[in-house]
Amino acid sequence: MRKLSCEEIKSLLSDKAAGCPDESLAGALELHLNDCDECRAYAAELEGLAEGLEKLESVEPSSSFDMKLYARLHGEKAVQKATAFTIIAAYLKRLRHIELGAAVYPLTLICIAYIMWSFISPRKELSVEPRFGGPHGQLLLVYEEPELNLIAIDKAISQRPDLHASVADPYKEPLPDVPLPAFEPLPITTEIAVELPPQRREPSIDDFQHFPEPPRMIVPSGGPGGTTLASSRFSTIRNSPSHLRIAISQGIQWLSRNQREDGSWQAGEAARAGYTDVEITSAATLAMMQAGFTASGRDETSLSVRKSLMWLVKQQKPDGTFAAGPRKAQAQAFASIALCEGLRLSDREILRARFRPAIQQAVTALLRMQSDTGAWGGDDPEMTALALMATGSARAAGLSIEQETYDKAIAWLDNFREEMTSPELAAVEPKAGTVMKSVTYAAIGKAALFVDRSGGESVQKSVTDLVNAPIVWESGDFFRWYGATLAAYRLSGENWQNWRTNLLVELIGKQAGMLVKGNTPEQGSWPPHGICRESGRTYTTAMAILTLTASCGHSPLYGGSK
Amino acid sequence: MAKSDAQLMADFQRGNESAFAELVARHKTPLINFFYKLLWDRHLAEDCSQEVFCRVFRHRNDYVPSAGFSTYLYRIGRNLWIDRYRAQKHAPGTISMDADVDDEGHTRGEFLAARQHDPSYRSEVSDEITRLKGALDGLAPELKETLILVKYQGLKYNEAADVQGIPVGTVRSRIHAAIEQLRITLQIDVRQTEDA
Repeated sequence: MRKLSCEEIKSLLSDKAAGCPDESLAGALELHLNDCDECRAYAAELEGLAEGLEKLESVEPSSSFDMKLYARLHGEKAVQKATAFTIIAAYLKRLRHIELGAAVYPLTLICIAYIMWSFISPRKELSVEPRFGGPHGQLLLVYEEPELNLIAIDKAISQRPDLHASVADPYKEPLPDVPLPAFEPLPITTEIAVELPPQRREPSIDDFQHFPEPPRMIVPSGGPGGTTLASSRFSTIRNSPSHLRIAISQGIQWLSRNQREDGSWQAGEAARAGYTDVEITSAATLAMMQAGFTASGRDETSLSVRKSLMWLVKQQKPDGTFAAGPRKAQAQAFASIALCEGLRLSDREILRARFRPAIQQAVTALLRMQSDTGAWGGDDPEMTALALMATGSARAAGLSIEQETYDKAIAWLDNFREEMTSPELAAVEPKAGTVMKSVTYAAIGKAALFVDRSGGESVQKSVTDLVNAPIVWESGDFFRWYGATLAAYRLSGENWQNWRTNLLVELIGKQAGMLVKGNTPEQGSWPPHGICRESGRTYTTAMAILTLTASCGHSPLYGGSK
Repeated sequence: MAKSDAQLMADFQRGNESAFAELVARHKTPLINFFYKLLWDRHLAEDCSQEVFCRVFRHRNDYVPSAGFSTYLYRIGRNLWIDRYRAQKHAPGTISMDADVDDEGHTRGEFLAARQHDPSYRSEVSDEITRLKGALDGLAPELKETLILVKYQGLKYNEAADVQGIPVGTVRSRIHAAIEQLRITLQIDVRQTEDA
């Protein structure tokens, strides 16, 4: 091995500090450093420098980054089109053939003007959006203009009595009485409920030729095959404020657009943080199911649910597990919940027969992951709560789970809570103490869902503290918001409304693309950030939808029933 | 399997705008951080990043897959930074390490040491991050830019050379110069802090 000079060593050390070490000379470098005090001291300095440079902060894109980018691009497109037509018009002016010019030139100008007008003026197109499962043949026409031509709509309705259309009172659903974000206010919507004749499943454009063109038409998934639970879910959501319904529906659409052909959702870059396709797919599937789509529905979104559940079944290994890696317990729990709920919310025996053996193996594998302390996930309170939710789902799906499983886990959670909320710990590590406390409260709140509906005094206090804590968007604590919403609805009483209002303003206000005209690829989703910055957009969107649908008040999941 | 950047650009060149959106999603964070480390202004960093993506969008047909997409992106970004900010000497400290700073023959090291004593500069000098930022800003623009590309954006020397249009050897010597200058600057700073 060639001996290197001190100058060469210093160059190599600089390369290393910059993150580009020359591995082929690593041996020679080490040899030299063993013998040279000066270079060793230099290496220590550069190591400290490199560590220091690592501390310089990085920033996350703001939530409006994409919106602003696409707004710029749309503006550029309009300018390009106008420029193109101006050039064509200038060329035509040079036509020398007088007879041709006399005949063609004015006609050409008229055509150009018409094309420019049709491209540059915003065209209202009827966009049809699939919606939550529910009674077939119902749809909603959503108008956002405050000065709506109700006379024209009334006339259109009278021309189609077979549609059984009626105008909803535009001010029937008040906006929440909280300060809105400081940009475009949420639109006031007017909705026209239309019921198609029983023999028809889908609307046709002919049905609406007499109606003023609405910017959005909401078509519930419809079709027989949904369960009573799913139908009641739909009607619960349908009775919610329109901005909440729109947010949920846009989120479901985004999930649908990003589902892969095989029925799964990709973890993508979130895989670096240990997220697996199984966990992400399960979360997205649960979001769709909580919105009322089921594996036995006949619409496209229900078909998506069926495909994803079938994909999950195929991912299961012979030992019942689904994934490996640092988040294998989370993947196991989420997949178990998705399959259990898929079975419970489906009334087709052929699907239930596919799910049952997979569920038995999945839940058995999950129970094997419980440690002797009673906790899951290396004594993690959130993972323990998630596992308890999974066992609750399994029990609701018909599996028998030993009571000892719950007793051990709840006892562990209770002890964990007392230890972690000690003032001594909070005094030493106030931030860590706060995070741990909130995690613990969420865990207890979630556990209270199905183990102890009354909650008991200590759980009630925990949940009260939980819902009184502010929702800080920057924390990106999507999973806790979901758990807190479930717990708050069940146990919180009067504090529920405060929590719900604050939550809706934050979540709905931060949904991508909702306050901008026109479509962006991320429209309807929620950005990963804060605690969930590495979880990927599918996960945060699924959690947000689960949270919003849970905020409607009725959750068919985890064995819940109204 | 996720498509490569080159495949996405090919799709985009064929008119698939969602491929462009995927590229934006993949590269916006590192690009914003590239500008952020140059400018220390998040809004400007985002504005510049959006301009880069707009240029990619406008000139999509100029991209050839033989160059990595990251390299292509940073080349556009670097050119933008040069056009907008480097000409305005946004980043201070354009003095060469070896050059005399003033007519009295003080060297750069002495210049830096003197600056540490300047109360307006030392107002938050006790903060390590502020010291590091100051040291980074004290580099000549070409050194800082090279260091950011290599250290923070993770480019290899040949990729950084491609972005900057310089030989690989020049990239290497710029890195060495930048590291050495940072080492000296921070050493002086530590000494001043200890003496204070």
